[in-house]
Amino acid sequence: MEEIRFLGAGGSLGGTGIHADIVAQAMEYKPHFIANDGGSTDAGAYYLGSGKPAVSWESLKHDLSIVVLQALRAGIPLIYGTAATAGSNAHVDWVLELLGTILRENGLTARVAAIYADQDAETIVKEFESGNLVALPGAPVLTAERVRGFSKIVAMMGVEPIQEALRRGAQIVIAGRTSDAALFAAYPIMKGFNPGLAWHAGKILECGTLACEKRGKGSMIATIRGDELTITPVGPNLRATPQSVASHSLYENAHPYHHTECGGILDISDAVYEEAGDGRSARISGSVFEPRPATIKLEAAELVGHQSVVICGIRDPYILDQLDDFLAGSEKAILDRTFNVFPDLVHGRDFHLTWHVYGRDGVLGRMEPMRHQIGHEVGVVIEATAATQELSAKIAGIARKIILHHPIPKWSGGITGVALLHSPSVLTRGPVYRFGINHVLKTEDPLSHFTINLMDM
Amino acid sequence: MKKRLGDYCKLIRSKNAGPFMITFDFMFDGPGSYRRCVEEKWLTPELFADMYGVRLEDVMFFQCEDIASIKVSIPRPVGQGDLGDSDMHGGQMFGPLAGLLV
Repeated sequence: MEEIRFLGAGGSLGGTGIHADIVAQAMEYKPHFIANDGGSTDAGAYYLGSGKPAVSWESLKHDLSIVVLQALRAGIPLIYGTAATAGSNAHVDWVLELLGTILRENGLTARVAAIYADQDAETIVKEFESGNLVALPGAPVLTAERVRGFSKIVAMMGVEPIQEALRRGAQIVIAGRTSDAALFAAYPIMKGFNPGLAWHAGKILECGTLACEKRGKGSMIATIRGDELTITPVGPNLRATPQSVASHSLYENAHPYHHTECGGILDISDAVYEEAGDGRSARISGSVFEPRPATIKLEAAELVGHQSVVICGIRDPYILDQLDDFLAGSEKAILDRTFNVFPDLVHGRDFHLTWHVYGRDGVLGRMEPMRHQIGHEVGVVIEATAATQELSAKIAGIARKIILHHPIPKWSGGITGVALLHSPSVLTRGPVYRFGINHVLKTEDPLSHFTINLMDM
Repeated sequence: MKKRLGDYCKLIRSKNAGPFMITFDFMFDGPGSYRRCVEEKWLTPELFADMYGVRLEDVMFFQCEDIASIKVSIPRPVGQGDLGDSDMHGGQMFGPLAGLLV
């Protein structure tokens, strides 16, 4: 094999959407496989914690159908990872059910590999206690007890489990949490192509057309031949230029030139970007993959509590004149009332009140340098978080009632100082999760911690 | 006359780099603007440490001359989605910097 071509149909499947006509056009390049991711941590820890997808059955069915039908028709592998937003076992199983529906409705069969990435908490505790977890920057402090309390832990696979699934004859790979770039790099590396270029191609293709001059609807084709990688967009008015592809490498990575993966580091400091000569493709050379001992990145969702929310606005100029005092006074009154009703509760332990004041510092919070310049109105979001939904709703109910009539010195008599947006004014958000781990796991075997199930569907 | 930093850039953005880091990209409109930024120290690690309340040694600061860009990465002041976080994707954290008068 002198050349390998592969197709990224678009960004995350089920998201902004892929287009059947463009994918059909991209298939004319006769790709050797199609790959696409299904999620990331971007949408928040809720999806990992709850096992729910951030995409609907219908939207993922639309996108997945397009690539499944094309791949099976062409007789090439389809690789899909970080299934259904977060890539836990529940997400993989949900996609398998969806895939079964697509295959049945089209009278097709396929050899399918499901790769599971869920981790048993006790296994991770043992690794933690043996010193095999290495903290990444900003990592939360771990204890064995905290690890046991996580709602879900997944490991992020590299290329190896995908390669193993392909070796075992999978036509379609539905993988749990995966490094986006690994979905694209796995097959070329398995076939002996330059790993630096394979990983670099993955970094570009996983973001759909974002590496083009102007983002638009389309797919991307990568071609590796010898020591050259060519990136070709397929879609109306799309152009990959040396500048646009080079700049894309900054996106979502903490370091501009070094990208850490499961089995090493992609180093693109010496990458060279050129016009490919057809007016819309860019050519890359000089990207290097430096192998390192395998490390597997872990992700965990940790339940923060259950949350209820009150949304209101303030337009009274006299309240706005002394907004900080008004809000501080309201909070004190809310807490006093809460302690009267629930004398055993401790603020900061049993419940939390969190404030977001749009128009003052709603986006940046205390970091906002212009927080003293407010306009003619502000929006206030009060979050009450507690162990149960019921308790959080009761506290939010107190907050609603108290802030609604909280007095200010200017006015005599009763006031209604905020405009409540809704009735009922207390919105229940359900469970709220945060990410609880930011560590890599040292391992001898990059296949360990993942389970591959092959099935004929 | 002073202009806003954004007037010298074709793109300024911020984004999560994983749930515990935020990364800022300043893509200048050409090598001239990029060089002025570097020479006149419009952006410095100290500025990020001050503005976002992180330790100076935790600020990763990169000058990417080849693409006329500055990249800066800092630990997230609040973990993604944790209590008190108000920007799930970190996408608006750059706001005050785009309006920085330089």
